[in-house]
Amino acid sequence: MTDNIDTQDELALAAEYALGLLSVQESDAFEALMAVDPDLRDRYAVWVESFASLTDDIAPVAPPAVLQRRIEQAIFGVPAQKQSLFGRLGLLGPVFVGLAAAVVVLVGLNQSGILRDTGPTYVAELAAEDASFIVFASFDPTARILDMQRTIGVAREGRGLEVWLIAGDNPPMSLGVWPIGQAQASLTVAEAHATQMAGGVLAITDEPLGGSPDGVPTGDVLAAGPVAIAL
Amino acid sequence: MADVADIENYIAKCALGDRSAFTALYSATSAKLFGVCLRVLGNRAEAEDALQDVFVKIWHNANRYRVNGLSPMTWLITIARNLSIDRLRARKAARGTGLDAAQELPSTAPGPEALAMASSDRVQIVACMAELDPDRSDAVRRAYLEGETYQELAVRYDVPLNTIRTWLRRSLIKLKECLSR
Repeated sequence: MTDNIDTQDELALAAEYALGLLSVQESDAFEALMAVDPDLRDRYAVWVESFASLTDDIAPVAPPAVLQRRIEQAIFGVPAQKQSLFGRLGLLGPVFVGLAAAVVVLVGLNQSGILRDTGPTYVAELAAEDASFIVFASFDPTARILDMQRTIGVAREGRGLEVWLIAGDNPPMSLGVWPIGQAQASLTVAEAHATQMAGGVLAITDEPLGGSPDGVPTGDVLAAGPVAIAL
Repeated sequence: MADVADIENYIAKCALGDRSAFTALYSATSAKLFGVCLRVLGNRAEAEDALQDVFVKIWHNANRYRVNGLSPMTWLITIARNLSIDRLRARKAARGTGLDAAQELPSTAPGPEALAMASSDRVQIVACMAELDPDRSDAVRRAYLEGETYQELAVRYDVPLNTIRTWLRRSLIKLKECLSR
């Protein structure tokens, strides 16, 4: 089985890859090798199976019931809303071309911990189609505070994020720039914008640091989602 | 209680966009996967977020799963473990390979010999880990369940980086020899 150095080296390398111990370069090189070497794929598959059994003694723990609803809403959303969102985004012109690829879902955030206890609320989940970028948002119309939590995704290197509200067929209105490097953002929304939040669409775009220079989106849409009344 | 064939069936139907299959898969596997997320992250709120990422990923990648003779739970557990460890590493701001980008399993089926090895290995790994020096099996476990990097292991065992790598690689080969007996 392990009768020569190469075999032993491959064995150890496959295990290191499965454990996540390799550097980025080593991982890339290993994947390239695995793509052309069925024996190496086998070695890796066997390691993965072996290591997975290290979880055999981990007891199952039932997740909170609300999490299932949150997850299913994150994945499936509400079909009717999805349709109207796509329709609306189609009116936005070339800046929002990237949105054709964005899937948008609604989610109830009552249990997610980012809502205030009093009075709100409108909520939205802003997501990219491949779930590479996800933001939960809740809006308190009384205080006109938009709270957002980025759960997946980061700004591109040397770039910033800007938050937009799109109401009806109107051009996107900037709600502000996401604080650099933060997972959370809390923006105070102008009264004129706050009244248009219901039924609107929130979107986040890739922009220069400090935001779009001319008040209209200039970069790719990273995530978008419709604003809904909290469930 | 869903068996292996049920779970494979649910995953296959998820790949076709079957929402009820997703619900069934969630019911059958979420407690185990949540247990894994909790074990790695040690924090309920983070484990819940991780579990959401896990099932979003399962849904989107179900079409990449191939029934291949290995346990479908391995695929699911590996997704849960890798995403949780990526979160843990992000929290620790440690430099390391993003495991989410790693393949959960090769997309082509392993050969019959590999399958035979895999099924016996699964039973034996606990026994074979016990044959290693305690420090070494502990290091393997820490790498798998806590995402510790060579850097962190070197600090933990107070040995140079090159030494820890040599040390762990030897242990892995020894582990493999035991598993293949």
